[in-house]
Amino acid sequence: MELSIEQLKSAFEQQGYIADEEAVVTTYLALKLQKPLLVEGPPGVGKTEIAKVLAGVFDTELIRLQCYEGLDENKALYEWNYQKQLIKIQLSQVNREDRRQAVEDNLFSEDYLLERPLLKAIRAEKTPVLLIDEVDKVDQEFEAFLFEVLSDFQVSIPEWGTLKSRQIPIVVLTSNGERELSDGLKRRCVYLYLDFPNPAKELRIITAKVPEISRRLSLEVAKAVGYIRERLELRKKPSIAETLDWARALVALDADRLTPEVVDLTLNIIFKNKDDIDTFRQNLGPQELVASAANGTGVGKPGGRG
Amino acid sequence: MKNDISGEDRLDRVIESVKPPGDREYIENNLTRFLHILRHLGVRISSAEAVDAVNALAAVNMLDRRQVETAFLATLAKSPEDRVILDRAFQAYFVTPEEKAERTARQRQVREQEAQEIEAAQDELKYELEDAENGESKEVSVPLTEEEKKIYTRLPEDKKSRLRDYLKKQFQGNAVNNPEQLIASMVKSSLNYWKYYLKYQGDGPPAVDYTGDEGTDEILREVVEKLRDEEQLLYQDIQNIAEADMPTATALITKLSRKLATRISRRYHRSKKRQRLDLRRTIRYNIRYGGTMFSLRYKTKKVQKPKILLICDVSGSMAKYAGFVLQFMYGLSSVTEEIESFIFSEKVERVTAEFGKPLPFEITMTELINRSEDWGRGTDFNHALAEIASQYKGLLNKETFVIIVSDTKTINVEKASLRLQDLKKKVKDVLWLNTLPKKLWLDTTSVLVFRRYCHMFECNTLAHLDKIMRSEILK
Repeated sequence: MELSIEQLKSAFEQQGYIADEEAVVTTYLALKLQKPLLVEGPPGVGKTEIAKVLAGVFDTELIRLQCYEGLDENKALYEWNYQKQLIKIQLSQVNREDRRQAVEDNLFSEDYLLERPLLKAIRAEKTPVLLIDEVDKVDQEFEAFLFEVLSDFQVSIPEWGTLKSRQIPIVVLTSNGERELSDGLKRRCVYLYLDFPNPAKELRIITAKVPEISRRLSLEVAKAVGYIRERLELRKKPSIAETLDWARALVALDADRLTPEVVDLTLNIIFKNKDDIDTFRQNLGPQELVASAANGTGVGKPGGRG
Repeated sequence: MKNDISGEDRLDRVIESVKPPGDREYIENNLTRFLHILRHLGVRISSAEAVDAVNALAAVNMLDRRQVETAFLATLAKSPEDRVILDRAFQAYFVTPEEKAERTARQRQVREQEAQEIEAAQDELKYELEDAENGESKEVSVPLTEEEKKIYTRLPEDKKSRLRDYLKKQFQGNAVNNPEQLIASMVKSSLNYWKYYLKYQGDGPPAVDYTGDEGTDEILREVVEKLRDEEQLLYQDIQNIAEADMPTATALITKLSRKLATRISRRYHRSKKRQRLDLRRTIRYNIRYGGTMFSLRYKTKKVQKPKILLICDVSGSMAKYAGFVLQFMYGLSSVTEEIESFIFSEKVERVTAEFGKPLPFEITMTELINRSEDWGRGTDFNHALAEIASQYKGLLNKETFVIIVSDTKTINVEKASLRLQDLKKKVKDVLWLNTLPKKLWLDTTSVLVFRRYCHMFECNTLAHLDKIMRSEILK
């Protein structure tokens, strides 16, 4: 399915994903050039969401490979079901009528193959979306293997020969920038950097995801979160997910606008560690936050380049 | 194509085709020039990426400036830092002819002014010399190279006039043999001193190698100026960071030192391929299945997290960087427990305990500064290393990653270098963060000596610290 930039943008919106033009154009380019899309940015800005939304847009399967330290080919590509093979051997020893050659052939058949995400994506009937999440967590050896797979979309299983994918999957890689990725991997990808949204965009996200919220409260929440991100040096800046949780919490508390009391009650939802709560109390405080959100001075810097 | 091309036309075409590519205004040429500029600004772009960029351009609306820029960003800039550079370069490169002409005029003016100043330098550095034989005086100008003249123009006004006064007074009517040469060498050595001084003073701008091509350099200069203004904090010498910017700088240092710690102390699990089967445990485990090897057990080698040994110079010459060093130590200590910290000047002192406490930065620092006697003294790196090697032998093993923060200025350089060599053999690796500007490294013996036994990085701006994070050895 070929989509134009405008169509992709409206498809994103239909899926409830509010994206700026840069994100849409970059995703469009990745699809058009049939290259993996590498999405980098701080945690909680909607990197993984892009893959889910793409699966929704193209009405296809989302195959997810969650990366972690020590992930290896066995867990990412395929593995023979050793235990099942062993049982088969044992059984064939009991039933002597099975011919040896047949047993050996069978042992490496489809039945004994444990398909892992990469192989699943390559063998899929309909173009799937392959999400390789937090790719910065894997070690270099695996990264090299990964970009080999991503450039050819073929793998070789010694017992079967080379398997080539029927169509090139839509690949989305995400990274928190914990480690610099190798040039080789970056070279093969189209790059998108997602930063925290500006208050205008965040307002649209809140309205889309928490429809029951009042207009005034959503505006104040968006401004307040932007102000917190801009003003405070935090260990973990509040992400979009936290903004949404906060908005939902405020709705649950029947608040129709921000007040110092209600902010104080819900601090644990915005900040996820004690140091950050202390920093907030010392350097900003609920009073100032509410004041800045109400009078509109707290419009944070727009999520510009970089 | 027309069939009746006249001979003249054909000639024009041939000439056009052999012109250097920069003179022809095709979109491909424009694009390759843009790529060329990006490469000179330090963005690494492979040919494959250049091809991607061309394909991406074909897929977007070329009349939409924002889409064109996004196409470049998506295919060419693959890190947040590169994105900033690409954005500024894009703004500087794709301009209207009027803006371009204006920029050329502006930069020409700057250069003309520079040329005038150099000419003036030639005039100013003259002196009267009396000829002893016929009693006439003549005007002699000091023979200076272009570079020396440039240094003179960059001097503050009072220093200039002092130099001029010196020329006037010192040798007037003073009959010495071959005074011209003597004066020239005096002036030159004075300017040499200033060269060193000015080098030391200058804040490191983003590193750019200029091409020599006027049009290209013009754009490079503009981008560099813009970046320097915007990201001032990043490119400024840490010792010059203003009080007001300190909180931001502190946060940056903490963030970067954390990054360094996680990078060094990453523990890699070994993949199963490298493991060896543990036969004894496998048999034992599988007895429950009647001896069928149902579940395999592997011998795993426990991979130790590397320990960090931090050795920081707090002597007099490093005083200006003390704030940075402490922030750095504090930042590292707060993220990893496997760290041993030492400070040294004439003596060495273990300060691991101070940094290990979960106290705010200010309190830790006050405690440390009040207690320690090492602050601001001379430097004896040899002694420091000797003491660490003898008293803390247990810390030095193949799991230890040593980070030294110092400007290399120490007594006993030769002995210290032997100690460093010895240390290098015992530990995993030695990383040296040198606060001395790289421009001075070649003139500094101690740098050349120590460099042989460690990975040495220039580190006096936050940009440097960030660059070290991205360097190969830490990957």
